[in-house]
Amino acid sequence: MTPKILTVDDSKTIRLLLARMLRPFQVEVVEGGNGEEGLQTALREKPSLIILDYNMPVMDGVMMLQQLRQNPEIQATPVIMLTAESNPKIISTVARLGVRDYIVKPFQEDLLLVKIKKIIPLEPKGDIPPVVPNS
Amino acid sequence: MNLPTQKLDEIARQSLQEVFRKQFRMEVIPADSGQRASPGHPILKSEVGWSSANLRGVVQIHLPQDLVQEMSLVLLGDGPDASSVDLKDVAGEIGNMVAGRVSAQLALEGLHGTLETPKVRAVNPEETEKEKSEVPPLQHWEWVCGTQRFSLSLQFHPSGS
Repeated sequence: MTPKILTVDDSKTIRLLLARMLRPFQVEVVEGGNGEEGLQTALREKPSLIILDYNMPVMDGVMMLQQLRQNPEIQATPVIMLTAESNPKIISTVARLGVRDYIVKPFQEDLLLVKIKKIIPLEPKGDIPPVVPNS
Repeated sequence: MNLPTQKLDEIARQSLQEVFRKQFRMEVIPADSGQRASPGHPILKSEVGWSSANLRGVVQIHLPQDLVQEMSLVLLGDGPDASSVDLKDVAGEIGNMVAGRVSAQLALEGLHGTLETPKVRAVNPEETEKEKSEVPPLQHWEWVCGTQRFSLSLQFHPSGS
């Protein structure tokens, strides 16, 4: 079964960047533009992994994470935070909510791929050239 | 805000250089005082609010649209993703990342704050110059990336003032 990754970020640029980065791999990418959309998409799509921003309108990443952990259908979904925010209080809060990793923007694509591969298998598609990481 | 000017200079330089190098593989250098932005070039102003218990602030970047376009190409290439990109959104994300690094550097000085979501709007260079003269920011720096000139401003004031 093809793993599914949900990217939740209010920046379409970041969602496009992540989709481009993941395109060479056998993985389906779905998106949400804020925490509320992310939660609805998570319930509908049951992703294997969520890549989650913090600062978003409507519902921020922490609130989405809290609601995710309260829903038995999706509460065990692994989450990687990808955010410009590095406030220790927020890092501590999301750590208590069981995030698997916390990556601060700006970020290196190859590092994020390594973190993703620790959680889900990323098999190359074979017909698309590999990503040139921004390292 | 009790940080000396020299420290704010360092914070601005480190934050910009980290974002431009790490995410965009681009170098930025301080602009010569004589250099001016080309008149008439559209500018995108990206603004991110920052607040702590006692302080409020804003990180502003004025980026020529051409530079944002170049940065977008680095991030997304010229394939199918690039065709649907919104340059205001790219400018917002650049502002978000720079503000994030500024916030992290301020935290190292004991000033812990949180960021707001970026606000972006198109301004013309004349409007930008007028803003600078009417509301002098606490700190303002001019930079060059390739052939493009842009600016970063940091403004901080006590909460409630």
